[in-house]
Amino acid sequence: MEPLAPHEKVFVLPEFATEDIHGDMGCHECHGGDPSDGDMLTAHDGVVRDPSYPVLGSVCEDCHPEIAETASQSLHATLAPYESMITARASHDPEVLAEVNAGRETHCNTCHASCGQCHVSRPAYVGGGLLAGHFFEGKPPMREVCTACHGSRVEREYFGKNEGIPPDVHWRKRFMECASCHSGEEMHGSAPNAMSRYDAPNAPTCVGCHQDIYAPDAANAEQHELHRDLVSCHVCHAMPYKNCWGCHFALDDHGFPFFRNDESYQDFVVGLNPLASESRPERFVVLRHVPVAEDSFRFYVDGGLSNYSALPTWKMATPHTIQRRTPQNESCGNCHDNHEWFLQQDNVRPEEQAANQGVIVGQDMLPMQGVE
Amino acid sequence: MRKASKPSSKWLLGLAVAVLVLVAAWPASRAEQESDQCFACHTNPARLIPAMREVLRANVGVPSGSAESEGEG
Repeated sequence: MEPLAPHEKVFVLPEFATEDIHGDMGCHECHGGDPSDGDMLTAHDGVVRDPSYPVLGSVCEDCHPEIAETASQSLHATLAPYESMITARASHDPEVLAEVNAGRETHCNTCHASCGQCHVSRPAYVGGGLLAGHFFEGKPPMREVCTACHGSRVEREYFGKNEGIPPDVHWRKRFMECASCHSGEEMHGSAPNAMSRYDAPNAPTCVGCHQDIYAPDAANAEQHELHRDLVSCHVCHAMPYKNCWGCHFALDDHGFPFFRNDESYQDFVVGLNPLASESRPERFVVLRHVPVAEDSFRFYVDGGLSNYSALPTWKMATPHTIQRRTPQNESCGNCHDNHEWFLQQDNVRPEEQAANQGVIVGQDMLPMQGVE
Repeated sequence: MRKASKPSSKWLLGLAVAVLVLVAAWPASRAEQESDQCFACHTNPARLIPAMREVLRANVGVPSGSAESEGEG
């Protein structure tokens, strides 16, 4: 993504006033400040760069009440899974938990989105800057908004920027943009107590588009039917993806938050489905290692995540590395005779054994060898 | 059936004048009405660039974030 010069970030196209309905309002009605003040600096006193944050939708709800109501409870606004997951692992001591929450607010929760930071400007997390001279973009531009934040995993995976991994087939062959699968209904969907991003309403599914994949005359119909509800689509069709370890965070000498990740690398790991449900009945899914560490919050408090093993550190993943042909599905033996791809007891780090018992594939559950 | 009569040239001229008067009198958007302040500056690079330079000069040496992050977020 091209960086913007400081003046480009705040340049407003003259046509905005006449061609965008939002131009009917005075600037100060949303942004504050004093338009009658002749001094540039004092006229900007009280100016709010993003009027739609932190009270999401507060300036939007008069005209867009339905979207504003649900969007303010959407995952992009609340980051609910961060709170759910971290609280589940955190100490039950109220004082310790308060320190953990302070750390989460200062670090994890800086990645929020808002109405304005998707539809008007680049997200604040990447420095902001108007997308199109203050015109409101109904569908946010993919590279300036979506992958501006979802860069290290989704962008690199989807566009094939990781060495040796081609672009996702949906991009390589169809140039499908994020919004092709991730609809406005999903982005604006309310999920206040979500434990995971998969709790978001209206999330895409593979069969949503590939509706005939289990039909008798579909390509590879026998294989699809044999593996139906046993393995997720990603187990056969995903390529390696990013896994991260050991995220720690602190404040620097100026009081600004920063983070450090110990390690990240490409891997492909299959494990037991931690989110098995009627809508996700598969026994085997792809797992990604999340960067949480037992002492991630050590800057704020000792023993912050004293219930570290309450949740797996290998979580269900749906990486954007989809290919029709992958090493797994080249032949039956590639998967059935190759148990290295499966998360087993001896390839989980000792300090994470307890956390991951629910996703580790036992010897008696590994796929049958010698299948042809 | 009656045939529609052709509009006279006087009528057409009157209509054109009325449209012109209406366009000229139509209130500008409120963003434009603030033109002496926000709008005039933010739509004009010749004014905006020096103004931003002035702001940046006032903030030289003031850090805007940490440079200590490492690894992929």
